[in-house]
Amino acid sequence: MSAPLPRQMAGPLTTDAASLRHARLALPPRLDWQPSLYTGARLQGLNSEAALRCPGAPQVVQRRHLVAVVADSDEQARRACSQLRLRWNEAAAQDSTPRVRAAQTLHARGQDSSGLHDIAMDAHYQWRDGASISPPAFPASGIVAIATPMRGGLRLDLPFGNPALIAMEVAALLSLPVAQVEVRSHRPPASAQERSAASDVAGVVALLALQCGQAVSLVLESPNFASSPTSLQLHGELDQDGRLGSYHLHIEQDAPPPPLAWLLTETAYVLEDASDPHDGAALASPYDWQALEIIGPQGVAIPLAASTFAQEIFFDELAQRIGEDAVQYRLRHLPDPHGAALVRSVAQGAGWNGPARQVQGGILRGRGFAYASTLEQEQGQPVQSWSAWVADVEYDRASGELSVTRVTAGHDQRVGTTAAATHAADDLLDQKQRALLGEQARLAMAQTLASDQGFDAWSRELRPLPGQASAGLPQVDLIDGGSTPALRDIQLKAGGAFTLPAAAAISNAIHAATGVRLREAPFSGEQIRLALEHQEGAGQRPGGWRRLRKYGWLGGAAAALGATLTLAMPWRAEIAPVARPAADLYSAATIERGRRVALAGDCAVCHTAPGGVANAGGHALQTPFGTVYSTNITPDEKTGIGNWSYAAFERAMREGIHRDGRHLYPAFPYTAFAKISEADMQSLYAYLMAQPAVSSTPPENDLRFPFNMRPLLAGWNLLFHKNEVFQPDPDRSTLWNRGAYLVEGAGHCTACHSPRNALGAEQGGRRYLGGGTVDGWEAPALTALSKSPTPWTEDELFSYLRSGFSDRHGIAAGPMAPVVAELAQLPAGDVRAIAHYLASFQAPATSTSTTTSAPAPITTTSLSESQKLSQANGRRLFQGACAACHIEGTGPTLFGVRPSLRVNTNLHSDTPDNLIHVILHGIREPANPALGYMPGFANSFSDAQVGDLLAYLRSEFAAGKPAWEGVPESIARSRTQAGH
Amino acid sequence: MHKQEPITFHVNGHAATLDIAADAPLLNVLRNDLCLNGPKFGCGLGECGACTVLVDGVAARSCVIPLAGVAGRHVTTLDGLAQEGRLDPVQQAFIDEQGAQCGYCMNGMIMTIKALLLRSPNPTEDEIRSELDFNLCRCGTHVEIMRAALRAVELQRQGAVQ
Repeated sequence: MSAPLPRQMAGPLTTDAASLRHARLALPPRLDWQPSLYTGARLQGLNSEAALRCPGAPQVVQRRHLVAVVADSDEQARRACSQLRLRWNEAAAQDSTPRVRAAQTLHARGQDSSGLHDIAMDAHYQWRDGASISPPAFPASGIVAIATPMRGGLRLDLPFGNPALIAMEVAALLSLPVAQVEVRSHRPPASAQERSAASDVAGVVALLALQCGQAVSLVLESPNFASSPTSLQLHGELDQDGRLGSYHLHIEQDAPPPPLAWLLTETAYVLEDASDPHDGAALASPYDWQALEIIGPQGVAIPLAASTFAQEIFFDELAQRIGEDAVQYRLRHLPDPHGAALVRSVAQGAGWNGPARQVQGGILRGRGFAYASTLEQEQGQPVQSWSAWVADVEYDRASGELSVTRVTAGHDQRVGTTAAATHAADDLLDQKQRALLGEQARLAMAQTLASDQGFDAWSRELRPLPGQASAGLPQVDLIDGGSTPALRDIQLKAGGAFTLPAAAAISNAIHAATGVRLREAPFSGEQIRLALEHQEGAGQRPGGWRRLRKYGWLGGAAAALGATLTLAMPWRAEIAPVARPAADLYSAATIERGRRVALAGDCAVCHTAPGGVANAGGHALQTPFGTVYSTNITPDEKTGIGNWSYAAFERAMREGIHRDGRHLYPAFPYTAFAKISEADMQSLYAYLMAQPAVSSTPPENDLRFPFNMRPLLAGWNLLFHKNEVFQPDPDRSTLWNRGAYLVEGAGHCTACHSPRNALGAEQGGRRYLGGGTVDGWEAPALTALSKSPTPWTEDELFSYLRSGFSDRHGIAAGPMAPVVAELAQLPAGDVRAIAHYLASFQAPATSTSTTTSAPAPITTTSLSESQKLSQANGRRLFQGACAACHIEGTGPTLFGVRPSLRVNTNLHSDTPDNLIHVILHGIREPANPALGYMPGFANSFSDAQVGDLLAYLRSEFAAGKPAWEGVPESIARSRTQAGH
Repeated sequence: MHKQEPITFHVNGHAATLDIAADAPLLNVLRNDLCLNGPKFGCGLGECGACTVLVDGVAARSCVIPLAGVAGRHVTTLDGLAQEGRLDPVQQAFIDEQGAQCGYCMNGMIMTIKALLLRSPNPTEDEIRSELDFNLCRCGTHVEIMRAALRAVELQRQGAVQ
C-alpha cells in the first residue's frame, strides 16, 4: 500500500491550522464568456441535502453560478462537494468560432495596390497560445490558496501571482479598500497562464473566506475553459520577379476570460487586462512590402507568437511559390541590416543549404527557417530584439512520431538608440544564460509540438514533464548576436523575440520533410499522417477512382488472407533475443506516456503476485480451464522480458505469441491489446524496459487437457482474434472515441465485463460488456443489461472510476478495487472519456423502475416456515454484524463511506457470488483508503448463518427478486478462495 | 500495496512513523506499539464500538482499519482528549454522571459522543440515541450513559459561552 504522506505546506504556516476550513468548488460543466457576459452553463437547481449530511461540518456557499463547499478538511470538502446535486442549463450550444468583435485597422503603410500584381496568395493560419504549455498553470493536484479575514479586510496567501494586481482585483470584487487586502505570494507568475490562474484562485478564495468569516483554504483544479484560438488570414501579392507588393493580415481573437470569481458571480470585471495590447506595428511583417495593412480586434492583446507563426510560414510559402531559397529570399527583402546579419550568421552556423529533404527507410527529414524581430518598451527605453531559427525535424512514417532533432537559434538585442558596440569574446553568453535560453527554446518547442488530440492522446493534467513534449526535443545550438550581458537580463525578462520563430521554423521544416503544410499550431504527428494519407489519395489520377477502388478491394482481400495465414501457423518463429535496451534510449516523455498506458492497462494488477514485487509475475488466475500464472514482465534478461526486442514485444501484445514462438493463453488479453496504437505500444515498451529488473520465475500453469496444448491456440486465434489497431468512429466525438479506445484497447474492460463462450472467447454484439466472471467474481454488465436498480450516468461512472464508490451503485471491490486504484493515477480527462463512452450504452433513465418504489410481490405468507426462520435469523445477524455501517436512516456516522445496500448492484444480481465474497473476506484493500474498510466474517459465521443473512438481505433490499439458488455451493466455493 | 514502506500518521497531535505491517489493525498498533490503551478490544469485527477512535475528527472502529488506512491522517484516542491537563467536557460529563459500571464500553461511548459533538454541537436526545445505537454496553449502564451524554452537550455549551 503506497501511503500518501501528509501534504507539506510550503513556507511557514500562515494560519492557525485548527481554525482553517477547506473549500472545494463545483465548477459548471462548461465555462464560456462573451467579452462582458457569462455564457457558460447556468446553475438551475442546487440540492445540498446530501452534501450537508457528510462529515466535516460542511457548509455550502452559492453566489450565482459559483458553488463551493467548505468543510473541516480538504477531503471532506471534496466528498461533500461530490454529493451536491446540481442542475446546469447548458442550452447555449458551444460555438468554437471566434465571437464577432469590432475589427479595426491596427496598422497600415503604403498605398494599397491589391489586384495589380502578378501572383496573389491567400492562406489561413490558426494559433493556440500555450494550448499545451508545460508545465501548466494548474498542476494535477490543483493550486492551493488561503484567505484569512482580518479586521475589516483580508489576507491572501498564494503559491504565485502578482500581489499588487491581485490586491486591486480582489478589493474591487469585494468592494474593500485596496489597503485592506494584503496579498502574499511565493513568487511572481511564470507565464500568462499562471497569472490568470492566480487571479482565478484568489478571487474565489477571498469570496469564500469573507462569506464564511473564517480562514479558508481552497484547492482549485483546472477550470475547463473553452480555449480561444487566434485566427489569422493572410493575403499577399507579388510580382513575377519576386518583388513584394501588397499585404493584408486579418486577425480574429477573443478577449481573455475574466477571472473565475467574476465570471461565475457575473460581476463586471473592471480592471484592464494587465498585458497591454500591442501597438499594431509590432504585428507587421518585417519584409519590404510596398503596402501593408493589419486588421484586428480592438483592445485585445494578440500574441506576437501568433503573428510570427502565420507570417513566417506565409513567407516560406511565397519563396516556394517563386522557387527561391527561403533564406536568400528573406535576405533579399529584409531592409533591417542588423536582422539580415543575424539571419546570415544563423544560416551559416546551421550549415544551411536549402530544405535538405531526406528519405531514409520510413524516416523523412527536412529543415526549415524562420525569423522575427520585436521592438518593446522596457523601463522607458526601447528594446529591439532579433531572432532567427533553423529547425531540423524527423518524421517516422511507421510510428507517426514527429521529432525535432536539432535547432540552431540566434538572437540579439539592443537597448535605446545607441548602436550595439562590438564585443570581445568574453561577452559571449555564459553557461547559465545559455542554459536559460536553451530552456526557453525547449519550452517554446514543447508548446508547438505537444497535444495530440486523437483517440490515443493522453490527457495532459498529470505530472507534466518540464520542457518535454511528446516528441523528443533536441539540444539547442545558440548563436550569439553579440550584445552586452547586462542587456540580456532585460531580454530574458521581457521575453523578446527569442522564441517567436520556433513554431514557424518547425512547420517549415515539416513541410521540407513531408511536403505537408501545417498552418495550425500546435501540431502533431497525427496531423501529418492524416495529411500524407490525404495527399497520397489526392495524388491518384482523377476520374480513375472506380478502378482504384476495385484494386483496393482486391488488395484488401489479399492482405486479409495473408494475415490469416500467418495467424494460423501452429508454430511461430522465435524472435532472436537482444540485449536489454539502454536505459537512456527513450525520452522521459515517452516513458511517462508508457507509464500511463501501463496504468490504463492495469499491467501490475495481474502481473504482481499478492505481496510480491510489482510486475514480477506469479499472480494466479482461475479460469474454467485451470490455473494460469502471470509472467514476469520486468526487464530481467533471464526470467523477464529483458531480452525481448520491440518486435517480439509487439507480437506478444498483438498476436499473443511469446518471444520464443509459444502461444500465450488468452487470459493475457492480447485480443484487446491488439487495438493499442503504435505510439502507445512503443511507449509501453519503453516504460517497461526502463523499470528495475527483478529475477523471478512464476509457477507452472496448471491447466486440464487439452487446454494445456498451446498449439491449439492457433486455431482459437483464427476463430476469435482480430489483430487490428483501434479505428475511431468518425461519427462520434473525440471524447467518445478516446473512451472507446481506452475501454477496448489497453483497458481491456471486456476481458472481465463481456461474457465468454464455451471456448473462453469474449462475446460481442448485444452481449458486448454484458457482464462476465473473473476469479470467481461477477463482473456486472456495463450496458443496458445492467442489473443495477438505477441506471448509470456519466457522472456516476466518473465518480465511481475515480474514487471507487458511487452512492447509487456501491463500492469497487474484488478485482475492481486495484483497477480503480490504477485509474486514480490517470489524468481525469482519460477517466472522463471512459465514463462518457460507457454512459453511451446505458438504457434511458425512464425505462428502469427503481426498487425503492417497487412493490414486493413475495409476501410472507408465500414463504415456508423454514424460509421465514432463515430470514428472521438473517435479520438478527444483520442487526448485530452489519447494521452499524449499513443500516438506513439511523446509526452512527463512521469513518469511510456508508454504502446503501438497497441500491447495490450485487443484491440485485442473479448470482450471490460477489456478496458472499465480501461477507466472507471483507474489503481489506479498498480502491482508496478514504472509502473505509470492511472486516471479513469467514471465521465468525457458519455457512448456514451466511445463507440466512443472504436470504434476509435479498428479501429486504432487493424486494421482488427471487431468492438466490445454489447458495451453499457458492459459499463453499468462496471459502476456498483467498480474499481480494 | 506491494512494497512495504514506513507509514506516517498523527496520533493525538504527534507524528508517528512506524515500520510495521501495513495491514496490522490500527487498534493493535495503538495499544501495542504506541501504548495508547484508551481504545479497547471488544469484538474485532467493528460490531461493538469499544475500539472507537477519531480519524480526521470522525468516529472510526479501529479494529477493522489497517494501519495503511490512516497514513497521513490525524487519529485521536481517548488518551488525547484532555487538553492542557483539563478533561474534555465529554470525559467530565461521564465522571459527573458516573457513566461507567464495568467501564469496558466507556471509551467507545465517549469517543462516539465526542465525534457527534464535533459534527453537531447541539444534538437532540434522539440523535444521541441513534449515534450510540451500535455501541454495545453489556452491564446495563445505559441510563447513566444517556445522562452523561446529555450533560456533555450542556458542559460543552457552557464552555463555548465562557
